Amino acid sequence: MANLVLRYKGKLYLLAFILAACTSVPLLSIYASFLSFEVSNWRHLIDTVLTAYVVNSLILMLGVGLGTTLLGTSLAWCIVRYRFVGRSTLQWLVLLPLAMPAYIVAYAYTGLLDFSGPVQSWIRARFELGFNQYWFPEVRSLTGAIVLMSLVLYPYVYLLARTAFKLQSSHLEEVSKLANKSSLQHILRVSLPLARPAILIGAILAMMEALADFGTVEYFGISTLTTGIYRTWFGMGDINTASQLSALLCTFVFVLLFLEFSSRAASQAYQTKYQQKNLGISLPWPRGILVLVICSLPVLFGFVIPFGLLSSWSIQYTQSGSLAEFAQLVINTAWLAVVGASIIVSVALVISYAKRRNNGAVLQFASRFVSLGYAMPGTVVAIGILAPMGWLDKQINGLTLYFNDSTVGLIFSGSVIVLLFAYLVRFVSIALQYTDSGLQRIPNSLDEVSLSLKKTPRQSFFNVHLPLMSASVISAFLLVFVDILKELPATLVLRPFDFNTLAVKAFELASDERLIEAALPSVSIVLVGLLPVILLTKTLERS
Amino acid sequence: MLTLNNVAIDYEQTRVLDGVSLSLQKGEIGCILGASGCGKTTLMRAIAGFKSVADGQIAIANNTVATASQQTPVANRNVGVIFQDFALFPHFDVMKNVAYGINHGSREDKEKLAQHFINLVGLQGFENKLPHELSGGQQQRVAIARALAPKPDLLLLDEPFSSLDPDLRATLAEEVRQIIKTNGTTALLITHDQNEAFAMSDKIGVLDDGKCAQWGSAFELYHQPKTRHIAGFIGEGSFIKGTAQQDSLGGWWVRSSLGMFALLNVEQINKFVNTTSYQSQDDGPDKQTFDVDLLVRPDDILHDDLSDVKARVFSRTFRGAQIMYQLTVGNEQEKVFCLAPSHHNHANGESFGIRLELQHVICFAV
Repeated sequence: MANLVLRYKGKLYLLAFILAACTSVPLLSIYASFLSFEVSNWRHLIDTVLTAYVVNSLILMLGVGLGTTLLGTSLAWCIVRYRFVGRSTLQWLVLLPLAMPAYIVAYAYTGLLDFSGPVQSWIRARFELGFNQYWFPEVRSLTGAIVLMSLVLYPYVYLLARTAFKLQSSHLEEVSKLANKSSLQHILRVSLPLARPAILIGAILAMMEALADFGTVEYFGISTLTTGIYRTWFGMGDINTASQLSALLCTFVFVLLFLEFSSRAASQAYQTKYQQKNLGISLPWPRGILVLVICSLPVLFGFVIPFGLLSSWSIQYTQSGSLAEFAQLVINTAWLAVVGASIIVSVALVISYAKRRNNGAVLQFASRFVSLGYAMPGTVVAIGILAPMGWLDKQINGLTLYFNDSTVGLIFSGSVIVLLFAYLVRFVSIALQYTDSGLQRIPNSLDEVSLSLKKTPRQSFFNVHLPLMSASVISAFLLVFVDILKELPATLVLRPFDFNTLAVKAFELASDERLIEAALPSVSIVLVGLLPVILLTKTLERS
Repeated sequence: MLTLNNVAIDYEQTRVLDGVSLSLQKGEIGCILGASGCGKTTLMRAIAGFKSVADGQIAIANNTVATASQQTPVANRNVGVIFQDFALFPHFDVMKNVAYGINHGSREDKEKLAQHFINLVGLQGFENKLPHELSGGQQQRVAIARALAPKPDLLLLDEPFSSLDPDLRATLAEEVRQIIKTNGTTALLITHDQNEAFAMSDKIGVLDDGKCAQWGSAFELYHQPKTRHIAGFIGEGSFIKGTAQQDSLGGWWVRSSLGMFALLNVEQINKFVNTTSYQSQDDGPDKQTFDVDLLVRPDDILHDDLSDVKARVFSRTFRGAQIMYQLTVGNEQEKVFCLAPSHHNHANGESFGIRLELQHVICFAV
């Protein structure tokens, strides 16, 4: 009786630990694949495709890093430093591309700029040219992928750079003026160096997205590590090599993650204590309009044009196509995302609450693994789950064969359970961020009062914590819901036979050059994707 | 009802409290008084069960609830806690907050019992208000009602008035005392404010240097302080130099620049008697003298124009009905306080006659 509370704590702690440990399975699995290393396999890989995979992945990563840095930093600088007509609206408009998955922008621009698209058709008609008689940039290329990804990923840099610039005291600029430095000198020698760690973090996040991207590069037919992993598994059925390639990709990601981690320390050191609010320089209307137009370009190309195109195609489709099929697709996707988000948020709540009640070193270590999940590309998570699940199915069948003289078939492989598990690995860390911060806002004295009033931790949780953190739980649910909706590679690899989501269907249709049909599911994804962007703007306004 | 026996508590390997002993009878209100950072909140958390003890025992209602090896969980100690920030559940109204800790009976029974305690703290009519709609004083009463509703054996109050307006504190302290006394609950108050301690409690313990220096009534702490620290900490006062000596009849006397006073405090006398120099003297007991600091309270010094002892005003603070003088006495080396009625008005530098009327002679060997 004496240790009733402690024992309960122990159970919760154990559950949280098991859940956290589960999420590390894919990571361990892909690195464990090196236990059976075949030299000949790798020699073949190196001789043929590996160089292309690695080089293309790195070029894509660096290109996107550069592109997002240029776009995001200059945009943030203009918006923080100048006041002009429409600035307050532009401040949240520039975030819209966050709602646009890179692969969907790729569909839109391919439809627009391809040989048979409206732009080239118009050029040919206008100048009476034929095939191969003029030069036009190829969208389906590495450069195309870099440009398109930069157009949708720049908000990562923008958000962090904006905060960094905002936190720079206006006194700094006055010091530069007193020292007789020009504005340009101030930017180059003070402002940018001070914001550099923050900008770097944003660029690294964008680069991680670029490395993890599967939809765009596969659609464009570019050989990168993600497409390579997919082909090795789908084309050759070689799970071991696919795992090893995944480990290689993962290692690149972890290097970036480490760089990000070290930049964070620097960015905190650069934050000044006493801030003089930086109101910005007011621009008169002719110059103000010019800045507004220039600053609107990224959102124009990154959101307005592709969204407009996809919308018009969708309308075109609804006039002729069948909506019953689309409705089935929406129901499938919504069901999967709701179930997935519910499971993931529940797991996050268990881990957060266990950490609050009993924050042991073991659980802290395990929850580090949890946060790695979000950094792992979807393709890698999928491969990392396939191998252990296949092994598990084999063992189960072995057992039933031994005891019952019959096999039960594949239980996990190819089932929704595996897919949900992949989502858990990938997205539980986002949910955890929200549940952690939601719990932290509740004073500890409430737990203690509840305890002194003889409530069990479970009763306290449902009566006190959960109602008080409902806003965080809803945010977590929403974000995970949208992320599941947008997820492409893991779903593509792990989905049950004949089970489609909006993202997978759009990808299949686009790959079959049926862009008009792909538009409606794509637009749906973007529209739902706007929800977290709205949530983000609300949070930014409050801070 | 509550007994602490030689309790020691560690905080991250450092011993913050050591050898703390105290006891409370049923229905008494006790108080732990100490400067901030002296470990008084830590002691309260150990009694409540949020913190383990490193040594000694804690017993509540004759059950040992904590030793170094065994800890009864908070839920089984039957204590109520009122936190500094009240820790009201912001999403529950007054009724739900108070009823939350009542774990037995039907919904109706619970509400009836909760209503009883809401009435006890004088919040009838506020049952459906949320905490943020109440004033600070009202919030505190909700916290008290919530803590009392499960009928705890012991109520712990951690700095319960510190988040309130200073003007409110004095009146609330008296009200809270009334509520607790009416309910017949044993309570322990944690505070750094001696006025609060005096207003609320029957017994006070002063925490100093990790120990409970004295456990007694407010009167005892003021007039019979056991250590120099307590003498200086409780109330106002100053020390003047003196010598203690035993006369040929065996009585002890303290001689000072303000006169001679009989020393009756047995504990203090024993301290002199037990010194080696006293035991090994050759000249006979009446020759041995001890240098002491004599405690002089402002109310011990009376304004007396007829007295031969004159003191010069060093500084003065007007307090309405009275004036607090700081006076220099003797060879102008020593300073004492004098609380004189307002009509005895003297400017700085003036002298007037004083008489020392010591009811309780307190001195500490130097």
